[in-house]
Amino acid sequence: MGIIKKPVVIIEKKIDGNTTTQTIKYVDLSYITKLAKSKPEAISEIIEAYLRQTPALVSTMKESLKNKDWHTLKSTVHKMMPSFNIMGINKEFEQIAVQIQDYAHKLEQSTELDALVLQLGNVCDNACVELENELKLLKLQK
Amino acid sequence: MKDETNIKLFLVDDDALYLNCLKIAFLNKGNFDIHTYATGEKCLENLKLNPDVVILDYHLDGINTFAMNGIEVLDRIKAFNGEIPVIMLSSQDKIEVAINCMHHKACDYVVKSETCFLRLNKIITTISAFRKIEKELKWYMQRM
Repeated sequence: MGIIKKPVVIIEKKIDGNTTTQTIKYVDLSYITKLAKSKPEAISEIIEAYLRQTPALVSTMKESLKNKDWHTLKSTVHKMMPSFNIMGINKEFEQIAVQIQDYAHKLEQSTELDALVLQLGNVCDNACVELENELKLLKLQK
Repeated sequence: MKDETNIKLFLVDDDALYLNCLKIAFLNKGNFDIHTYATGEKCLENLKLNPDVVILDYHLDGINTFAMNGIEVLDRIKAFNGEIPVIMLSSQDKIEVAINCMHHKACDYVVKSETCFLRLNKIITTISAFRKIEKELKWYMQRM
């Protein structure tokens, strides 16, 4: 499979006449495309696994913060981290996950932690939306 | 290994995404008979299938705190058959975790990273080569 460099932040520009629309892309499928040898069925399988798993993890993360269950918060975020590499999510967001783990490990609650959890949740939600669209495109290819 | 061409590989990880990726990565290699398990308990139930290699996640009790953790599963595998090589897999790049795994007789420790699949493949190739040499040595020793 080799080593693939992850892009920093992907900004897609669409120029339509005089209007330029910039969309931030949260995922980069080049890693799983290479892993799956560009087979649509295999890529779909990986995306479906992410879509099955991630919303529940995000929900558990938010719930554990609300309940001040630091052990569950740390474990949940720990479980989410490998998926960032696989889905080509920006390393900066992985660092957010590391920070959340750090706070949870130290049993610290701070306003910053709330913001970090919210941000990570948003990234995962946006990633899920993008991946759902990618999945639809892949299914059309079959 | 029982079959020169097919290596019976157990993949144990409660992270369904990573488990899928591992399965696909090894299926693409073509010479693996792959069994996937989301829990250590299910892996232990199927040890009678005599896997050639087990790739085992360290943090199996991350979400389900009542599940066995990776080290407990490792100990049980080794108690069943000490010859089964077990490669521990973890997101943690910590020396203490790696040492803990080696103390419990893991064959190797790999961090879940971009190069993870390459490393796992290399380790399994090394294990296969070592087993082949061992087998040949045994064959010659029996004839001496």
